[in-house]
Amino acid sequence: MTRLQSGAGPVQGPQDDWLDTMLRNARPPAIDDGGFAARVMAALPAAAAVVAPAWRKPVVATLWTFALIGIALAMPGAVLDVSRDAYRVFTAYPVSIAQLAVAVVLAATAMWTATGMALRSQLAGER
Amino acid sequence: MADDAMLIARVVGSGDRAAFGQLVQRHQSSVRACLRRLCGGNDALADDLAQETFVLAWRKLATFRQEAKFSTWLYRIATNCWLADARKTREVLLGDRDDDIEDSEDNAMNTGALHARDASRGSTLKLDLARAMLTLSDGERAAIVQCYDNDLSHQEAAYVLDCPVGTVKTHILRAKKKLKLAMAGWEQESDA
Repeated sequence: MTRLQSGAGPVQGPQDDWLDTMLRNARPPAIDDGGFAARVMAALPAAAAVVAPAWRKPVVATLWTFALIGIALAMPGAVLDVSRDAYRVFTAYPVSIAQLAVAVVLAATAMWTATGMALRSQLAGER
Repeated sequence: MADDAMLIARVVGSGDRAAFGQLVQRHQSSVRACLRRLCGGNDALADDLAQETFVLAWRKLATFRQEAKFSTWLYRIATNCWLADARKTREVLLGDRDDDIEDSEDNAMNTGALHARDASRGSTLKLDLARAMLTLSDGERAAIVQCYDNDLSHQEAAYVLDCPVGTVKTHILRAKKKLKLAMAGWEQESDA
């Protein structure tokens, strides 16, 4: 992620004109807290919307993968039986290409809608 | 003292209110000053918007991805709060500002605190500048405040204003043109 270049204003140095100097000299002085922070703290909602840290998802996914591999190694027969039965159930109900296409379209619509809503709420959050 | 990133991690990780309190104390002055400038002297409104800014920051802190400094991210939220409010109450803002400035002038005269020539001159300059700032469009004023008051680079100002860098440069050029016209009387004094 590229961090924004920080700097001290737009023009400084020999190009500075009288207005630049005037604007810089007219900077407002520091404002005393005067109970402001306490008012803000009192106005905060009861609980912050604490979002899980970024590392949580990959760690949980990795743990699940290890757990599934462990089960498969511990009970190879059971895993094979479950897989065979799942395959049988799936093949017992043959689907046409049209049905498959509808399912794909529905899944894609749901996925893009969810992505759009997530992006929108994230952008609204940044504003 | 813990830096911003550590405090943010504590807030995001465990909803630590004390850590957020430290962030508020650390950044309240710059955010309030920025909003006071944007609000054209309406300090009460600026402080309300500053409070709204920090409440929003608390809610959205998990979405802060450190691509900018935390203070820059706060300026972005503050500027959006101000823009949203200015759109709603534009007429009120334009109507009240001259009165505020006149009141400040009257107060200054009545208190007699600014009788010393230099202090009086500085005060008048600030009032003139405040008046001149009111002639700018929202975008121009915001660009000037971000780049001169908050010391942001063009790139950071573009992030705060959510616009291309070129637009920030244009805003500043236009704003400076207007300000030079409005403050022409001060040019000779600054040269002297």
